[in-house]
Amino acid sequence: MIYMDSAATTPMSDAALSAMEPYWQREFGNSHAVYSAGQHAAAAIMDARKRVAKCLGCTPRQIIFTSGGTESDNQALASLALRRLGSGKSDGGSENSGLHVRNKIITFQFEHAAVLRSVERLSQFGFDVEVLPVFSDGVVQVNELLPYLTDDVLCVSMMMVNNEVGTIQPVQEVARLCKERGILFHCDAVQAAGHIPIHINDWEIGTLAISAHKFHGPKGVGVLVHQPNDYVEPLIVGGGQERGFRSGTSNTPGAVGCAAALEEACAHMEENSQSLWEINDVLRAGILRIPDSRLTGTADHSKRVPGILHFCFKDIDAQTLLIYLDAHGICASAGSACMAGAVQKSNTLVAMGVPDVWARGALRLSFDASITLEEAHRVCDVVAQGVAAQRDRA
Amino acid sequence: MTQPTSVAEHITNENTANLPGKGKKVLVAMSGGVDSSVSLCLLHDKGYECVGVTMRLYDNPPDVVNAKTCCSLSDVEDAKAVAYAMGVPHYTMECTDEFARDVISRFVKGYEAGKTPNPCIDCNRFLKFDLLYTRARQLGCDFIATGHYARITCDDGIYHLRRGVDSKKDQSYVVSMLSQEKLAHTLFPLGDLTKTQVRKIAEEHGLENAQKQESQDICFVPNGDYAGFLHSYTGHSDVPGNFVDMKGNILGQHQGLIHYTIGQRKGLGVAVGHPLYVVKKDAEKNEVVLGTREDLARKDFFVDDMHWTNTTSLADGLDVDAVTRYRGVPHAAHVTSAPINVQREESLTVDQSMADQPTEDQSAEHQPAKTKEDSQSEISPRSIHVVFDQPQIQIAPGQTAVLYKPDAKGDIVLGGGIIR
Repeated sequence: MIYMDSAATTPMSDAALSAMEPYWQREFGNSHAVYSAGQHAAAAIMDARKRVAKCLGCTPRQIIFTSGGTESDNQALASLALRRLGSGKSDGGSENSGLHVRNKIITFQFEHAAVLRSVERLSQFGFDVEVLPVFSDGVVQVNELLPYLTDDVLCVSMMMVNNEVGTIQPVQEVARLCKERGILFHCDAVQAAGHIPIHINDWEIGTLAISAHKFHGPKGVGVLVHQPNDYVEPLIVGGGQERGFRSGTSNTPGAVGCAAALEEACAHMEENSQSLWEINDVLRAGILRIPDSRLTGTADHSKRVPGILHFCFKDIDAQTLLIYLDAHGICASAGSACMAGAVQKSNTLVAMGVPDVWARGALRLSFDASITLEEAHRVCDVVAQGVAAQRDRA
Repeated sequence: MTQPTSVAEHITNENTANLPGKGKKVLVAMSGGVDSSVSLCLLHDKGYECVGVTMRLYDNPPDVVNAKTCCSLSDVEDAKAVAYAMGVPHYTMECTDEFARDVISRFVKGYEAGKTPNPCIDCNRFLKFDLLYTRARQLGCDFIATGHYARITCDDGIYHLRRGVDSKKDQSYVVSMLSQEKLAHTLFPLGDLTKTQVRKIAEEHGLENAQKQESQDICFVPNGDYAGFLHSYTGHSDVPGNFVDMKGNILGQHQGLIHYTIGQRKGLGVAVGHPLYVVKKDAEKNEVVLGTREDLARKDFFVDDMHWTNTTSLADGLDVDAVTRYRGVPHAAHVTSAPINVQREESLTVDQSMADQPTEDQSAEHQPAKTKEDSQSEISPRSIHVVFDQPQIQIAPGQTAVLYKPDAKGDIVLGGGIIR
């Protein structure tokens, strides 16, 4: 099997697996308990918090462990409504008076469903939501965005790396523009963490979501980073864990695994990146030799992560190609995964204005550094065969 | 003492022994229902290399607020559960655009033109036995299989589409569009079985959907409210018009054409002292023509868009048993070729593009240049004239007429087309 779907999920790293091991059976205590077994768990979580914070360029207090990227995005955005309702954790929203004047939320058509569905819900709660299109190269143009950053804007939500095509967004710049204008800025960094450098505080990012299983950590663990005294409200209330921002018995092994995986990914970021670009080059050259094929998004390396490539083939059915690849031992996808496993029209490709005849033949190859060059060549060959088989028998 | 064999084993061994091509690769179209699930089980047990596929045909109804689930999820889940339990891969194929274009839109257009379309036939024709059939070939499958109750036999190199042995379930009518080429690459594992046997096999395989209810309605109109569906789809509301008699005299007001079907007697709200039936729907005048049972009966009618299961000569005409609706009774008739209905051919561009594909059907191979002259020929004509021996009722334009070979068994499908 050649696994080319790292953007969907990754296998756990040995580092994460062994870091988690003690916390299933030996150090199983509830981190909020009085006795020392609980304190061991609490210490492990504190340590994990510290290490995650270091990787992301923020302080441990800013880290909220959640159940994943989707929950983190939901919490960041739903907080806008919760805060306004005054059903808040403590001070009922007095700090950010902007919440009562500003009503507009801006995001982009190619965001992950966790963000798009969240803002859709906010619009039902009375917020004025603007979902902007994206340039055909898959990168948000700051000068196009500028005119939208008016005084009635409450929050901008922009992803750091697009999950389908792998393009890097100008987060630093947009975060700064927002800060200057008193606009809250949320960043879905699920595809970025562990892959490209993130400096939350230097970049003045308001809230940021990541997910452990995208960087060889465990599934079911995410992080929401926030600026204390900013505006985040709990989605889940109860025992008041995570300083009241996320109740529920702490997931000790999850937090520890997340920290170990992120630390390892960040420590090897440079060298991983180098080998990923080598694989990337082989794949890009090989796939683009296929007639009527094209790379989706900018070709500029500085605006792409090395581990995600996206192609479109004219007049090809994506799902049929994926089934063909599966039959030949290659795991790939057309974009983000849907509940029933069907390939649906991608909002990213629609946002980028990719014509339908191309968008139907989408293929995302996402990979980690474990892929060999031989495997990359094999992938090119099988994709070429799959495309040819479909065209020959159209 | 020998162990008694299970029903499934017995049936598998006895009744599917004639399935061709053991060990070959089959794409099994799975709706999530019991029939297609059992098809998969039988083929898998028989040693075929199976791939289960569920087509996602339509989105959740728009009136379901915030319906952000992906497919008709529970059906897809049912299909996946069956496939995975057998160790068979399963995939979902997004076919909503094709379904909207080739099935729903044709259904709506048909209804708006006062006809009585059968969307299930269009779904079989355009989705299962065209789109999915093509996908199967692209994936290197030798066959496509479905859960239809029909049989395919090969006699002296000619494939025959036949009725299923369960006369109550026979579905040869809805797959009458299959050509020789497609018949050669299609498997109907349930053709030799009864529904009761199929449910038993499902239970023996531990399928959770063994007792799942059969769908009675059109899938995209789940509550059977055609009028409501058409209103929300088209944005048009009912346009009341006149009920008229055979001479054009006004008898009353109708609520809108879509509420009536040919042959309908109940719910008309018009009393003239004797039973009245819907004889005709005139979309241009927005009139519903009512008449007696005798008025309803017709001796002859035309059929367009014929698909023949094999090359058929109508040079001397052809005696057939004709069926004019799903589960209808066959009646003896004589068929001759007819001039093509130009208006219909032009209005159905989808048909044309399909017919132009060289692999589409056997007749295309025999008539490489498919021009209007060819279509009027007496070899596998696209339009025909059907004359019943005795006048018959329930001949509704838009419905499919299927012709069976008039031998003692009467189970061989010769072809089918749309009633003009």
